[in-house]
Amino acid sequence: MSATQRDTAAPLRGLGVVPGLVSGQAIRMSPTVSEPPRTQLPPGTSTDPAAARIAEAATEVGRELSTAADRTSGTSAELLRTTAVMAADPALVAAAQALVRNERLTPESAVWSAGTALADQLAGLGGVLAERARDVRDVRDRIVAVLLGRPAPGIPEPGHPFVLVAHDLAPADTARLDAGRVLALVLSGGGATSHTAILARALGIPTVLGVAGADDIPTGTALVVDAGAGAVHLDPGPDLVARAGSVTRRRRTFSGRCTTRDGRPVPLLANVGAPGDAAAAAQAGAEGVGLFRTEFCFLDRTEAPRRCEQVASYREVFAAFPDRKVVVRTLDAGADKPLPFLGVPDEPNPALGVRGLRVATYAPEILDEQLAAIAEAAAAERAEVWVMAPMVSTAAEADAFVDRCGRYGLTSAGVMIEVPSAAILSRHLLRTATFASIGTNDLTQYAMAADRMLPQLASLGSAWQPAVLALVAQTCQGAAPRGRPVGVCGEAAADPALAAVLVGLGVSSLSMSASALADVEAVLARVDQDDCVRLAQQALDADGADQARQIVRQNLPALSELGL
Amino acid sequence: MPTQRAVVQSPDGLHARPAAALAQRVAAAGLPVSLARAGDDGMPVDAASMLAMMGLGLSRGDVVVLSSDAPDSAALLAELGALIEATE
Repeated sequence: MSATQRDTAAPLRGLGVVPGLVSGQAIRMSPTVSEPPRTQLPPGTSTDPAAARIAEAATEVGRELSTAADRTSGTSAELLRTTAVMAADPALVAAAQALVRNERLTPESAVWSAGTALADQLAGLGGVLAERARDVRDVRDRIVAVLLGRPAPGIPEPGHPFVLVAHDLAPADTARLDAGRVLALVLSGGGATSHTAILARALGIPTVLGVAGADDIPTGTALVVDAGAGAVHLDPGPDLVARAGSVTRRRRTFSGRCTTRDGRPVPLLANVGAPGDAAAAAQAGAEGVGLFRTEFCFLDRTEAPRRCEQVASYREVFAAFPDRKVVVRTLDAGADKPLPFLGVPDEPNPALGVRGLRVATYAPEILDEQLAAIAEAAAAERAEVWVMAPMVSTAAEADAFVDRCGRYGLTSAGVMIEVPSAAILSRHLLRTATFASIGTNDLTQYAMAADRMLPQLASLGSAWQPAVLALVAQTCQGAAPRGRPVGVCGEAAADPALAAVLVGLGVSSLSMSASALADVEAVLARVDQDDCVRLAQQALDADGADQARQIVRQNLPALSELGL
Repeated sequence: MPTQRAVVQSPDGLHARPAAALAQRVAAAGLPVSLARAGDDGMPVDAASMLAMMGLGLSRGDVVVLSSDAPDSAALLAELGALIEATE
């Protein structure tokens, strides 16, 4: 295909999960390293130089990872530093060198064998250590790549900002994503709520998932990625490049108080998954915390955390938001996110099993202990603490939860709306529950009967589905007579176009990754309440998710003005 | 020969991060240090190797023994013991 033909060619299409319009060069993920053939050194050659090369290669990988760690911060930096120490590990190097000396294996073959054996040994130990087996294999692959003179597997380092093109990213790779260097992400796989999408949102990297044809984009191709529209233009014409350049992502900042153009406040809150996120969210101007996930306290443990540990963690989050609202979600675990001490048996269909609030039937003491810890932390800090339960299906469950919260003096007790039954009968649930918060990820999965992790169901699994929006509308209608506020804390709230629709449906606050606050505010500040209602009606009248998104984007000129 | 006992305090046992910190300290000191699970059958491993130490599968509450042939290693062993008993 010639360049002129390409200019007019239709863009590749996918699901835009983080909006943004950028122009840049495509760089593909470096290929993974596979097992080198198990070959021996030629007879008569000395094994010493081969053994020495292993030590040199391991040192080089350690140094590369340390340098990468210095360029990033927080959890990713810590992970990279630990991996750097692992790369230069004397046990790994010594085991590989022994294979060279004793079995005359080539250095790459020796490192592969020694690294695999160490990884398998860790995997056999189970628990947290087993999870590190992946890092040992990663280190092994990197050393083998150096020995073979190949590029390091994973995210390339071309020395300039680029558009990263890949099938999907492994968790170890996502930890190395850097918004300063990766302009946009174009993936052929991935779902809207996959770990890659969640991390891209947290980092604010424009991302398009499920792009058919992305696997055929060669490294070096010029691209314009219009992530808000889910479009990837190959070899774009000068006009398109100029347009991308003109709206080059100004790093917007959030004012700290979001209102529509006609002055209606729409509080923008942050989703927080670990105490450390809270300070960053407060710094980004979040008007509070709309979803404080408490699972971090419970994961990777063999027994329930003690109350004092919980109190300390919760206080850290509350302390970051004095006089602001912090909505704590009680433990959301179960068969889908198993914790050994809950005693929930394996289930054939964990998404429909004992999870969220339902776990309290098995282990009521864990919920009681958590509510006591929340109450104690709330009493010690100035945050306005609200508590909500995940996976509530019936009014009876809501009543029991509110009653239980009351016993600990927690009077703002609400429910997550994730199950269609709760959305349909929100008026019953909200008799006693004082607020509702819609979890759009699960609500979509249950309303559309589409597993949100499956990329081939990306369109069915989109919160733009008119049926999902109708459930949001119904939730708000059920809440209105009692004046109960309804928020949205799913990933839908971070999509600026969808945010306007949600406000039009009657949602009163939105909670999202802190990185999305400024973009959502920028769009809401350019629309009136009436515009939102009109957009919401257009989305409800659409035939499907793609059409709803398209119609709303067409009728919301603020998006293209802002490059979103 | 200087030795030092310590109790693993991290909730997840001697996992990657504490093992890496320990190995780095040993490597920086340049003294030979080994670490073994306390008891008769504890096979000592090189404390400069995070992978070897992780391979012991030590859990919270396990008792370990640090030892070194170097006569001037007592202060280092005490420091390493304190690292193992840190709660992170």
